[in-house]
Amino acid sequence: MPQHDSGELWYTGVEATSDTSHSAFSLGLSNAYHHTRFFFRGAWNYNYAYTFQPYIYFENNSSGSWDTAASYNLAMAYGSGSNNWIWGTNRDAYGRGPLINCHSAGTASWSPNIITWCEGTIWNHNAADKATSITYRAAVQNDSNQAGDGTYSDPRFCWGWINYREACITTSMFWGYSGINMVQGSRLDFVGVDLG
Amino acid sequence: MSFVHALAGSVSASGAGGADLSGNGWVMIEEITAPLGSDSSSIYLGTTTNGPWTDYQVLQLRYGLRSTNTTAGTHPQMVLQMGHTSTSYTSGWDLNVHDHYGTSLRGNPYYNQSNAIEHGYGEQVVDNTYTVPARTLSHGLLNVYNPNDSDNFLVYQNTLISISPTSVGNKSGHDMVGDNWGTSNWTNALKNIRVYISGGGYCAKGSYMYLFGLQTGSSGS
Repeated sequence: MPQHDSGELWYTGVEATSDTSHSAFSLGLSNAYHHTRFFFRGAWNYNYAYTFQPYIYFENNSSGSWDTAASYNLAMAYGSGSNNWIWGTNRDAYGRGPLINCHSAGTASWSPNIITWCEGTIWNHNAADKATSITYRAAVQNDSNQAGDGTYSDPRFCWGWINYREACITTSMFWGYSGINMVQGSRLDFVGVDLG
Repeated sequence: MSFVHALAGSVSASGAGGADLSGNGWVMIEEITAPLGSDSSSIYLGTTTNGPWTDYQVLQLRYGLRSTNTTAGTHPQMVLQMGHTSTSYTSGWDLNVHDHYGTSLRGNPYYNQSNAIEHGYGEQVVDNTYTVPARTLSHGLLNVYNPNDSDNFLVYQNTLISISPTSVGNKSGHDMVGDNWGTSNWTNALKNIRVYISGGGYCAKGSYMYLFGLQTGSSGS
């Protein structure tokens, strides 16, 4: 067994510096690691009463473009309170990530109590003979007592997976929704799993 | 309402990019409470007032907890307190609890609470009513996002796995995994964290509490 300095090492991250700076986070995946854990917090800068999911795309082996072929399978379990549901698709042209809630911005920070957290892992992204998969858990907080901005959604939890069906080295990941920005302070960090 | 999605442009990294092998990542900040060598006479598992922890984007509290309670039918629970001033703890928490308890699925939102976690509903811990040695601790993992920001609210998520035999003594089954998540109503850097047992007994032998941090080395923006 390796005994040297291995573990979970942060290698890149991105943070929305204003309410209009990022409609998506696009981060390179380091092939120094087999797997990458990720940590997200944030919300959409959008006046909408429900959660919706970011689109997720991968770049196949430094091709220079996002792979929009029918290469993505996914499933999600989600719920609120004691209710729960499931949803999934097969061979879509995109992956979909966790439920993220909205608030109409107009401030330089998040509205009270309207926020999403998500943590997960991007598996096997540095192996040419393996498909890349994501597993994640997430939840949204939205306090109806504080919804002075016109948005409301149930506090919801979710977990799920996305399978990118291509056996390839996956070199970048797209997380976002074109035309809709994330609020200032939203952030995504990548942490490599160094196996030594 | 439907959304029409148009994917913009070619691949370009919006982050700092590139591998960083300089040692940033998950690091242990503090052993708040080493595994107890014997049962405590205190309800408090551990306290740290060593914040703010300004080098980290996410804090992670990893803990194991068991109550010395032996009263069948009572349900000790863990309480999590966090604060930003001196050595005190701050109210104003909006949170959700959701758990699997035996075959039941449960959940509720709570608003403007005194503590980040204070509901046995979702956070019951095992106690000495149970006798199977392999299941003597409840194990929890707390993530605190955005612990240093004075512009935005704290965001936290806690998962507690609390497994006990389903029929021991007079107590009903206690196979449970529970989640809590929520936000503060205040925007200050986190300074104080404390975990304790409420509802019966003290912290039992083997209980522990470690604090880790995700060190990024830059803002990444």
